[in-house]
Amino acid sequence: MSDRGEEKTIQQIKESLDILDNCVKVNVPDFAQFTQLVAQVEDKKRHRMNMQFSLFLILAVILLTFEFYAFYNSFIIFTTVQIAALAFLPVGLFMWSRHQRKQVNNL
Amino acid sequence: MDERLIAEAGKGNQNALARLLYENYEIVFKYLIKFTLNKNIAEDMTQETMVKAIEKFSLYNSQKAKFSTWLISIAQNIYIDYLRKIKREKKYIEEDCLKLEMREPFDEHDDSWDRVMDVLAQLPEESRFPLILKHYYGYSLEEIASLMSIPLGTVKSRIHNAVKTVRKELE
Repeated sequence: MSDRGEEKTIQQIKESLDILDNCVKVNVPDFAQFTQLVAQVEDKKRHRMNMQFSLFLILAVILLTFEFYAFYNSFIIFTTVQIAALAFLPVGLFMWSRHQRKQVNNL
Repeated sequence: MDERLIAEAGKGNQNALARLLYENYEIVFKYLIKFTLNKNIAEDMTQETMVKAIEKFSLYNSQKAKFSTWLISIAQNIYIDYLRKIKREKKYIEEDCLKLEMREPFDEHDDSWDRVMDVLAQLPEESRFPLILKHYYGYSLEEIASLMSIPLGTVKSRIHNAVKTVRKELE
């Protein structure tokens, strides 16, 4: 009896959601708005990538300058930075790829 | 049609990507409105889904899933984030506003539909979401638990209590 009542409730929910699905009025924006949105997001993406690249270049130049200095003055510092950079490379790549795939690649 | 547009969009054609999103807008909106039962929130989330899809389009793999399925998975994640946010901020939607919005576009429906929708709207969102996933979309309990990052037992009890509440209210 209880199961039958539960099934009936579930059926009612399903039917109501079907009606909602069939009858709800969807205000789809104009196609022009989609084109505009794509252009805006792509622009932001390009800007962000340029910023990331600039930041990467600045960091690389700082690191290379430091390494250049260390190469002539301290072999230990030079080697330490080299090892740290080598170790960070795979970790950094892994973190970057995880960040990129976050929330989307779950299919 | 979709395949051609996907290929074009993959090559960087912004118009093709816009067309893809335009054609799938309704699917995403109808998916989200079943969980939110609120037109404004569903529209905002659909918009957010579109933005996310543009940002992450390079990661889309047409061999793995249909474009609409991929969009739905983005929408689902956005809705789960929203659930976490409202839980954290303890922000509730005003019921009156919700009812008005829901009833506005409907002309022909019987009383029982109204009653079911009212009861569903009164359910807490963290119970409504697993209930619809399980009984409308046919997700397994394990899938729901993994999606919502909650224990299996919690999913079971939330669904059971939600059905019980709806049943009690409809009697």
